[in-house]
Amino acid sequence: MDKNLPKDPLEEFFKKSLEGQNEFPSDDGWDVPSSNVWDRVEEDIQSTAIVRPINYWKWATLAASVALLFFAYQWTTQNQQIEELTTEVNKNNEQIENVKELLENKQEELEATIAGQNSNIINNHQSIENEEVAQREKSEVTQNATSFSGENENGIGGKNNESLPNIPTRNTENIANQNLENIPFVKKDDTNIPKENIVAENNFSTDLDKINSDNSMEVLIKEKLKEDVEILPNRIFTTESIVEEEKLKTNFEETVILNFDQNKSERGFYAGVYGSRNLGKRSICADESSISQTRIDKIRSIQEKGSWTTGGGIKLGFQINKNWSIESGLQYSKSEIVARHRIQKQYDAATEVQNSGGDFENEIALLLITPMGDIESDVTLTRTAANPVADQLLFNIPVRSNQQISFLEIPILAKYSFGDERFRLGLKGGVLANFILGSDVKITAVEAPLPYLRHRRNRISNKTELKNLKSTTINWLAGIEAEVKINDSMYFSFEPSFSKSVSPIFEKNEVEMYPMMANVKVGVNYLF
Amino acid sequence: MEHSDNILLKGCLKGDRNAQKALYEKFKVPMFRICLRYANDRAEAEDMLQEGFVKVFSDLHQFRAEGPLGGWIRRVTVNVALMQIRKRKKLFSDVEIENLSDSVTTDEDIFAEMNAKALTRIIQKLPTGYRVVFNMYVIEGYSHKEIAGKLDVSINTSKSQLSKAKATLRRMLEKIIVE
Repeated sequence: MDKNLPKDPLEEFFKKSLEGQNEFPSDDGWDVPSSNVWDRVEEDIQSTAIVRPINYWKWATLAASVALLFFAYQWTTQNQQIEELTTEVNKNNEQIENVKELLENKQEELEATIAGQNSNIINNHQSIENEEVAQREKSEVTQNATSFSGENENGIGGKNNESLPNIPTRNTENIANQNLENIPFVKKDDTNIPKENIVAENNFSTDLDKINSDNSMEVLIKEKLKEDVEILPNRIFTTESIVEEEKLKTNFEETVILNFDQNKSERGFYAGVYGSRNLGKRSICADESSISQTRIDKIRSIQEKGSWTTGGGIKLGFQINKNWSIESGLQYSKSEIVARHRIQKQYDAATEVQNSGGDFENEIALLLITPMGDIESDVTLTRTAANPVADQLLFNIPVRSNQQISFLEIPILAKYSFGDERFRLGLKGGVLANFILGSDVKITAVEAPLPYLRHRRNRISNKTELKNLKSTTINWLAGIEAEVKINDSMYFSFEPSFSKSVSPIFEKNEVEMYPMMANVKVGVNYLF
Repeated sequence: MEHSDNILLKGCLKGDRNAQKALYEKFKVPMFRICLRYANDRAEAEDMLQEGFVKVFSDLHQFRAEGPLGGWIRRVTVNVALMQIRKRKKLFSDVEIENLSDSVTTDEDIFAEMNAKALTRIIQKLPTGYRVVFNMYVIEGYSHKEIAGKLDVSINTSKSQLSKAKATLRRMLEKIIVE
């Protein structure tokens, strides 16, 4: 029975008189607004530019999460590249310093060796000159003596030149050769000194004269030494540089290029699609001091449990490196809470109405008290004429209410994965921006209180429980994800997770409600 | 929803001015009658009607077509009327009604002679709080709990305002009969 139906004759009269009018205006036009009302309406709707409002905040959140993904990608990759390059530069600098130090040491050693060798050569050459002078003087003395004694032509200093000792020649050649060969790192091919210009047994006199006349041997040796001193370190440096360069190149390839290639293969976007099963629950916090004891008792008597619902979504992620990735997307989920109420009523036989079938119908108003408000429902109970119900009989009606709230969620998550190519396990965490798409309360089951009473129909007249629901909340989420490789690009994904709102979705009269949800998502991830 | 309403609705959603005018013409009379019952006078009722239709056109995309379009427009109009009353004056001023008695009987024969115009004028003479609660409870069919929620008052206030409204109406009617 509609309790608002006027019973008072005055109420009934006013209702009938005023509501019974047709849509046509009365003859005297008392109920017709003046013509300028439309002009004012038209003016107002022109100035206010009536357009369907766009939910900017939804798009803003979506754009923000995409931007966040992009900037996170930029930031992480740039930092990583800078770190890698800095490490490489430091490593290379260190190696260059080592090579320089090595070369300096070798150059010092070489200079010392060359200086010693030069000194020996000059000394030897001086002694050769001294010996030659002595030989020449001796020869002159002998020649003078022979010519004086008449033995000039057959004697020592005469025609028999071959009998003269060849010491200077041999010595010069040996020393010169010895000196040249003893110069470290010098190859014969590298020298520009012609062999015949150094020393030759057959042309001793001419070469010796030449040496004696312009000191060419000494000059040549000195020049050669000087050249070697200049060239050798360069050659060593060049050789060492080539070796080090090769090493560095190899090292660089191994550490930078290969790593880069490796990282390149690990980085990249991925997308996924999934279906989910969701189990919603709600956490209610209330300041009991502000609620009446009767209400508290009724609320405590309610038995609530979540019900499994189906959802789904898409995800877009970016793999930053081997282990870390960030993820966003869109997902739809529904929370369904079933609450069992037991309402005590007193049967009012006076409100029974006999229907055309002869049965008696009685419409009873039920008030389901919930923590978030009330649900008012009108229930029709029927009985046969043969089974009268005592007036004012007390009885309990078990009722089940079903609160459904559907959400559109935008997650922003970080994921740490480990494992091999075939199987990876990931830990996920982050936040969800929750937008309520819709909400409803249904009375799903009313049990007839007595065996001879039947429940025929019910309708909900008031859903205060759904009032004051906020349109959006922020949730935290934690979960795990197992991925099994299907092929090079696709992974099967199994992802159980749990989320809970950090801000109340309902807040009124010291009562707060925080929705929470367990999800199991099953889907496929595709790596680009 | 009626087919003609559906066509009007689609046109209005596209911003078609002719469709908007047609919708206004179709519903202006019943909505104006509602406004007259909530307002003190005709001018105030016209303001309510104007605001109501501006709100209807701006919120039309929220209409879910689960019920008749007229019902939805009616709810919007009532809400706008309540909002205007709340903005303009103190809704529940203390009005002393002397010698009120619920025991006064109503003479339905006399009432029957009165038409909607006369009854509307009588309602208009009620103090604002009485008038609003009476309209919401008796004509619109809201419960006291709903009225309390909408007007942000207690249920008892709603009940007492209705009782006083009815008593005042009876007194007014008696006066008319006597005269």
